[in-house]
Amino acid sequence: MFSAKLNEKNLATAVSQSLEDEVQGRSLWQAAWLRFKKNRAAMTSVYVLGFIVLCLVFGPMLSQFGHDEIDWAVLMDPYELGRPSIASGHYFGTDDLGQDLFARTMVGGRLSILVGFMGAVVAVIIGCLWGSISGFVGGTLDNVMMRIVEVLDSIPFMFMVILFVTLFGNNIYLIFIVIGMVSWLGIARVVRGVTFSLKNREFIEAAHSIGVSHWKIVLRHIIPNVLGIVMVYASLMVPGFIMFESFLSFLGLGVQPPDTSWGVLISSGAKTLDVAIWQLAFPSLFLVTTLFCFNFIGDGLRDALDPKDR
Amino acid sequence: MVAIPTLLVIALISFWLMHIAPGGPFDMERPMPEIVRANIEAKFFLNEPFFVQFYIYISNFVQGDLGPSFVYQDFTVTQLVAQAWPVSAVLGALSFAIAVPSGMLLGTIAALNRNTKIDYILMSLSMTGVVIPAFVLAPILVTIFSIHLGWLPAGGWEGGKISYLILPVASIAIASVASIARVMRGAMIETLNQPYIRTARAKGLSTAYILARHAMRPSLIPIIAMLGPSFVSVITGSVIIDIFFGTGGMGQHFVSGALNRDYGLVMGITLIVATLTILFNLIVDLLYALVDPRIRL
Repeated sequence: MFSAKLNEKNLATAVSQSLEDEVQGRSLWQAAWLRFKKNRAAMTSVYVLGFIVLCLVFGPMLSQFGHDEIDWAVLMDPYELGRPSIASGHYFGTDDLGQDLFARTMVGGRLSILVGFMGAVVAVIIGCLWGSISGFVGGTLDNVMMRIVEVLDSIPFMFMVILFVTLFGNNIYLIFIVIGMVSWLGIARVVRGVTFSLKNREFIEAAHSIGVSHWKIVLRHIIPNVLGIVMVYASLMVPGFIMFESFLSFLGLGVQPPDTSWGVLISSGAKTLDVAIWQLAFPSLFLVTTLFCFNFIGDGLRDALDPKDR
Repeated sequence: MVAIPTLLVIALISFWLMHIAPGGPFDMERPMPEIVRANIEAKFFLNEPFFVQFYIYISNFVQGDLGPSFVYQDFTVTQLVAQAWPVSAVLGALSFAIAVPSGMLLGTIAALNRNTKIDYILMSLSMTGVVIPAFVLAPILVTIFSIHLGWLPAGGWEGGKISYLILPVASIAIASVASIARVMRGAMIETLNQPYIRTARAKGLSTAYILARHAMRPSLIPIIAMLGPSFVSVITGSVIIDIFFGTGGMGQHFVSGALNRDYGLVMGITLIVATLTILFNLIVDLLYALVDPRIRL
């Protein structure tokens, strides 16, 4: 009896809630945002990442040294005088050349994150266009375009990128456009699949019937509908690119001095880890935390935007 | 079936990149006499048209001749690769052999104990494993085990003695273990929610039996899909590890080739890795059919 009453009450609240919903209306994005907000790991990551970005933007202003400025006083004995200390102004210590590690970590981080985003943006643009055109037009064109994706997919692209770097020198932005250009394949596949299922829906038909051009249908009606899933993909790509940039820089193939990045700092820190552990610790800490955040945010977005889970 | 054309495309692209790259192997500060130059170019077929050169390179490649190294004057690329190959093969195979089963095991344990402390601990460990790159992990491991504890050597190869293998293999394998464990957990949870697993439970079968007989096979499909990427990550990892530990594998030649602009060496290794990757993808496709008979090749 009691439980029946309880159910009635629940039902009542549910009905009133759904009425409210009808009044208010919740778009797909609002619903996703509500789900995302409930994910504590993802929300924490957003705040931590925000903090890191603030550090990267404003941090260098707090430093008493430029990122490529040599502190000659420290240069005599960087392993003793270059220890992290508030007093000397080198909050994170210095590297072997007496350059301030705090400033270098901040400036290097800008490049690392920027490069991650650039790669993702390029990959998203190409992947969306390729996939939606392939899925929308269908037929022979679709076949050809997807065969191309298949062939490109079995190319070990890390080696291709290094070959590219070898041949054309290491302008880091160029490298990342290249990486973005070879890593849009997954996105293209997903977008094509979704486009295929969207193509025959009523609203597309309606657009056709009032004479909207094909181009415009793809851009205005197909792509907004695949953006959710693409965002999930892209958010998981950014950490991959950041890691790849660090990897290239670690090998000495990425950023060149006086520019710096987390990969460069880690690479030089790894050589002196037995005498100057801070040279490895601070850049690694920032890199790993950033990667953590991006991964959690990506997972959170997937849970929030993936219709399968509802 | 796409394998061979794909390989040709890769070879063509990299050969073309090499061709249009600025600077040639015989460009020196003091130009050599025209006749000498013409002779040398003729010896290496550099005076031939592009596609003829490509054809010569490919037919040599098929016969196992990767051409000369531009920097290591006394060696051919084939000799360099032949020296480095065993090291890379041992490191790669060991890491892979360790990473796949232990990743699957950890993922299964996490799935069985879903939303308990064990699950949370395992999953946060695996997230850590995913985000810590090999080039951060390797120095950390060396600091702990070589410098502070002094248990293991910090680098070198010494003919592949076990103590020299542990740290490099661990640094390569941990990332793969972590990502495989995450995927395995997801797949296993999905399988365990299936009605036929409930039926098996209702029949009173033991958990171990259900896992081995009913749940393992369907959960393997995402893992097989992971094998390709994790093969690539093992290769990538081994490049870092070759540099950091000085093990003398292919990665070392690859990077020094890239830094020295030794086009012949870099291209040779790119082609070998491409061949391996494509072969591996082929094996993965065959495995799919083996695990899931519904998939037709």
